Amino acid sequence: MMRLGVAESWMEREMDHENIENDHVADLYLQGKLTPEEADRFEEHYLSCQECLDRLGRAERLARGFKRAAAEDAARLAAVRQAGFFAALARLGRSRQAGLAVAALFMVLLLPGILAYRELGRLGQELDRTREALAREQEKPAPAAPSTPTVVEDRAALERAQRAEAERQRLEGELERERSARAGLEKDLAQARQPQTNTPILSLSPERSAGGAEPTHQIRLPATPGWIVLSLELDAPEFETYQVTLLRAGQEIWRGNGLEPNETDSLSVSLPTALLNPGDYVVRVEGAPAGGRPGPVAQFTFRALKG
Amino acid sequence: LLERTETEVAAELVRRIHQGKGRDTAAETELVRRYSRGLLYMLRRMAGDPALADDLHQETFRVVIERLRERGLEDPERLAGFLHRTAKNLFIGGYRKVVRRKTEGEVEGLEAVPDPAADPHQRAVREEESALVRRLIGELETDRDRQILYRFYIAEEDKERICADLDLSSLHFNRVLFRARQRFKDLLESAGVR
Repeated sequence: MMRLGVAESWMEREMDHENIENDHVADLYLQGKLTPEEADRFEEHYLSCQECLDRLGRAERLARGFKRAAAEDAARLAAVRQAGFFAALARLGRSRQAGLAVAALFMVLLLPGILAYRELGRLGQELDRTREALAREQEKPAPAAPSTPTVVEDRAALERAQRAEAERQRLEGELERERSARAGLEKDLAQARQPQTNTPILSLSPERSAGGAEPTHQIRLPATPGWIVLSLELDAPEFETYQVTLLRAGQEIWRGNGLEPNETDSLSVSLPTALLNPGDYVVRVEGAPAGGRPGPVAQFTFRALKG
Repeated sequence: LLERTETEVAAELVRRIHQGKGRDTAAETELVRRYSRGLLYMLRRMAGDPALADDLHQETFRVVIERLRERGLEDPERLAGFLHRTAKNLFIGGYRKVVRRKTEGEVEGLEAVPDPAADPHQRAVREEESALVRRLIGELETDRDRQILYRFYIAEEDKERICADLDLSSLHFNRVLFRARQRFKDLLESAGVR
């Protein structure tokens, strides 16, 4: 990339350290922003210049330090955003908070339960009607020679009643399961509304060695359910969006599409710890070209340990 | 003065190696000593693979010394340029298909490049760099200075754009970067790193 004003004047000037410093030549070289001619000229200079080699080393460390610090901050921010809904809830007044939470619970949990209740009620009424009809039939004086159609009608009514009873039992079981799931989720909701401190963050670099090696990154799963943040370092992002797949023993655990790298060329993924069990995991990152199939870009591994 | 001294030394080395025809080992050793670090740095950036860079480094010196012994150089003061071209040609000629230049992505060379983060020492170094940068940021006096550094080092925005957005003079921009580099140098030295 041509840097008008800076690089041109630098190329025209004497190669001395004052110009190299003032025109930020070492930084621009490391950022790949010098033209090939400028880069060649600087390389020829630093081949025998210990001062510029020291300068380059420090510039590299400084830029890397900034990017790493930013990646760590971005990963923390991602964790906070992940809990954004609950944080927003926490900021509301207590009555609105409760109202919103109840509305959310209604949508997610109670609505299916109510539908089940309605179905149960409908079947109950049908069952009652059938029972009444059966009772009326039984109260009638027994005919001397019962005609065949009456017996058939009674049997049909009995079968309907049995079917309705079985359906009622099934729906009652379903309702009980809904109630149990709701209790569990209410507990999780209450826990998630609490601020989470010391969110574990795992910065991963791409695996470059051949597969099969032991994962070098480890994370200890917290004892209580919460979140962990994976910060996936991309070497040179070429795609606008990426697909990330989490696998364990070859089985897909989670997949996310349309993920965009942050300004430090990393992808941050927050995962609920409930998704993870102790063991080795592979995180596959695929680049998603516009209108094309995702292709492999990098692979990361880590080991989750029991907390 | 610096470049003149360098060109004078280079011309002297070329002359001695050519006249010695392999017998002036002191001149050849001096050639390697003088250019080795810079050449290796350049090759590591170019190849993105330390092992490959080591091979190219050795091969470059072999080719250059043989050439100097046999024919010398038409422009002996441009010894650094000759070393530079030779190293690049060797890389482009024989190795381009194996590993692409680091700045162009490393996808093809993934298998060959060791993971620096897997090395506990490297990891510790990176953590230390991050800690020093955080300390440096914490010591900055104004948010604007912090913004300048973030935008230059993280977002890699151009100086002109940063100056225009923040209504800065070129001098102010240079001063902030100069102080940050100087402070980082001090922090590295106090941490025992050159």
